[in-house]
Amino acid sequence: MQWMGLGNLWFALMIPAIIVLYLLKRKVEDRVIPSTLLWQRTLQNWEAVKPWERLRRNLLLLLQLLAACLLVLALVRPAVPTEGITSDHTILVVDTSGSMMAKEGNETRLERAVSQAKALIEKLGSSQTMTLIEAGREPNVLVSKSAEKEPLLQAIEKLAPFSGTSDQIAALSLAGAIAENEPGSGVVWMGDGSGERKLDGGAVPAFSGSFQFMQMGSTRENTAIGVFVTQPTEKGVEGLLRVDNHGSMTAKGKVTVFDEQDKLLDTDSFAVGAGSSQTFSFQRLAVSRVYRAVIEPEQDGLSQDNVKWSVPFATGKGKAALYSPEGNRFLHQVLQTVGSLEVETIQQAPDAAAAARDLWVFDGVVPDELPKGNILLIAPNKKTKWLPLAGEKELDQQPRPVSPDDPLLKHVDWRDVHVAKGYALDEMPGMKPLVRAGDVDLVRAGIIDGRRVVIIGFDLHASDFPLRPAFPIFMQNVVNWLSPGQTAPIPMAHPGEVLTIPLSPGATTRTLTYPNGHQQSLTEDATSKTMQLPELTGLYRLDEGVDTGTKSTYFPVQMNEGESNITPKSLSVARKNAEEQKESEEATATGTTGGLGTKELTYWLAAFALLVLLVEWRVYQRGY
Amino acid sequence: MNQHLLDPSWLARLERMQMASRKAVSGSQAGKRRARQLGSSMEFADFRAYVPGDDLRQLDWNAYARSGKLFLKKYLDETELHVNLYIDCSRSMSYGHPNKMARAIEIAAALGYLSLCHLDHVSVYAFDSSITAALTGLQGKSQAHRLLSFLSSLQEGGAGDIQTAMRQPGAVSGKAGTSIVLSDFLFESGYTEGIAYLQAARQEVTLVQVLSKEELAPEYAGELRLIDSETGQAKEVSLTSLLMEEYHKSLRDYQQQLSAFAYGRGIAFVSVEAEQSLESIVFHVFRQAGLIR
Repeated sequence: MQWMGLGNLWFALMIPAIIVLYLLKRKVEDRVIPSTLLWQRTLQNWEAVKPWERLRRNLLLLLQLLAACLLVLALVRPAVPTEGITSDHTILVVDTSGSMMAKEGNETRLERAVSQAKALIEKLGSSQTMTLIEAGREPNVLVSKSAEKEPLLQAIEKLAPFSGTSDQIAALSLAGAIAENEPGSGVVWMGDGSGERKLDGGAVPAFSGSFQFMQMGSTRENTAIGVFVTQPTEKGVEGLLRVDNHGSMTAKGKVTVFDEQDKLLDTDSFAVGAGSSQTFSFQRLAVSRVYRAVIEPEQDGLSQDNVKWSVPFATGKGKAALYSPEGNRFLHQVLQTVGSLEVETIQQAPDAAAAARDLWVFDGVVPDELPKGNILLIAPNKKTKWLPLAGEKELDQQPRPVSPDDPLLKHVDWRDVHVAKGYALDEMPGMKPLVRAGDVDLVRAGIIDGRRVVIIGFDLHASDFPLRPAFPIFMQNVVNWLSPGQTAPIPMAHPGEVLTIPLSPGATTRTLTYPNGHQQSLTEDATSKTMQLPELTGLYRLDEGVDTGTKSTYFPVQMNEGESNITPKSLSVARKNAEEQKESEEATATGTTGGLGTKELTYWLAAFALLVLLVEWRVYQRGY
Repeated sequence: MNQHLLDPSWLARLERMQMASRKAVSGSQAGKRRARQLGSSMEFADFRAYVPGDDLRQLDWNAYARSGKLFLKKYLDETELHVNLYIDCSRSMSYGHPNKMARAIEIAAALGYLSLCHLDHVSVYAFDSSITAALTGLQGKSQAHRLLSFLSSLQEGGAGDIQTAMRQPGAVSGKAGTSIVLSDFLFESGYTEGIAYLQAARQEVTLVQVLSKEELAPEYAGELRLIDSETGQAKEVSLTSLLMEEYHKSLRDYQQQLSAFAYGRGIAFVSVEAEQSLESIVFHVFRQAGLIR
């Protein structure tokens, strides 16, 4: 027997209240009547069945007490364990999202789910089969329709939580599709229903089989670091930290900020009210390449969200080289203004062995070999082996953006821009046209040989583009895109995500160190690397061997904030047809509360209490 | 003022009625009442010689034995009736609208008046636990005034007890006759012996139970302490429909008991409601019951 709502026990106070009401003396009205003779005889008859009379007068009290007891009992929600599962084929879906790492007593929610799943498997009948699905980032069928317990148990044992959010809709769709194909299937969902990107708002898949949701969570107390950012200022590094309390009680604890070397920099204490947040600002933190904030709440469901790293926005400037034999005042000026670049004007075309730059700008010249670094090429007037120049063309049409949504064209207004002639280029793999006039691509952007390249296919002097407001905006976009790694830190990422890591051009060695110490060397000679992150939270470090020594870049991979809200929620599904609608409501009813194979008695008790109330009403009416 | 007891408009109608009695009682004065059966009274009058055709049952066999001649024994005609009216004046009678006692007095007035009109002897007794007032030996219509003024003067008394009241000296007349008891018969100590005592005094007894609506169909509700007007005894009851049902059952039982007792002893029993009109009581209930004709 379990008590799912023991907190409601205080309703039991209604029992003494009823007794007190009975203890209060009855108020009687005096009335003189001719003779009490007949009343005496009446009451004598009445009292002839005295034990009944006494009992009956108390019957009302007894009934009320019984009703009260039943109501209290219903409120504490007792549940009895039921034996195993009834479907012939059970599709067991286990949620392994981040919130399943929350502690429920001595075990995590996932551990509880695993042990309950094991109990379910142990109770499988000889003719019953089970399919095991892990509702991970993508639903994953671990064991398909197995009647043997051993593989199921092994698969269950191997389940591990990941720091991200599981795709509940996909998992439900998958389970529903399997259930559709196998008559007599029932879906059992083990999870806590919490998290952000879940069923809320999304289309709820419809089910035809039975669906039982087994709630693994009961606590909602969790305190997490919502945001931790650091920024260098004139006086030192300033840190901003937000502590979110997702629970129902005030959370108290300590917040501490460490530097790269785990040296304690600052500490503070917090007391955050239920469901609210508190923001801390740390002034003048000692300079460090990375900061780590840790909170130690007194009560905490999930410990994984108690630490966050922050890499301060870089203040260093990227290095750019401008080669413009003809000279270009506009270009020179704009490069100085937009982005944070140190622009160096070179007088000679760089050879292949030239030192790496973050950005090379070529105006009116085309290098035979691409130097190391990203390239901005203006007025490509020469055909090389990497540049298929078709020739110069007079333009009589307005420039027109091909893909206006591209980040490079953000806020750029081409309507006032006029271009007299442009250089037509043949197809270039990896490069896509952004702006076109007639059949000539005026702007192309893409990746050549691992480098980010932007080609402006006309001479700036042959247009009024530099005179338009669009010019600096466009250049800002271009420079930002071409030098992302140098002007901003690698953005914070979630585990399992696809992340583009900017690489320093010209680095000789590149090693990515995982939070668990595993090292991976990146061999690409490119300016960025797109990779899928492993399911591992923590601080990643990219070491690059550049000519000035080893350059280390940090980026944190942190748990999805949505998972910090561990409040258990119920999960219900729609029914495919109306007859089963009722059943679904029942399933939800047991689901919101039920643990593994438990049947809640609340509704029965409440119904019984109602019956007792009806009897009591009748008794009162008939005046027993 | 005494005329208020009886509505003058139907006095004439009342005069045409008479008390029905099975008992013929002789008297010193001739009454208006016609003898039903000549010579059936117990009072001896005369002898006469037998003529064939005479009732053989009336032959005086003792005389025949002594004289060897057949004689018929002649008895006096029934001439008058002694009518005794007993009015319960206990406190419980003073309830109802009009109260039971007033109604009882009116009934007594009506019965007394019509008896007087037939030259019957009329005596009126008021009692609670004893005879509190009495007016005896009225005869003739001329006495109606006395009867009515006596009845008007009756006061409510204390606790009623017919048992002791009837045993009191002077409570019953020595003459055989008709006794009509007007009461609610709600006596704590019972009524059987008192009535039996009356019957033993050669009275043809008629019981008229007067109950008020309050007793027949009480309209009480809630938690009440019911206090007896006579004894002051209290009963706490919480009135429910079920208890009300039980009360009605008790009332029925009580009336049945009373009528069974009356039937068993050859007593006429009539139950009337105080709220009923006097006219309907006298002309319908009493006539139907054969009390008057």
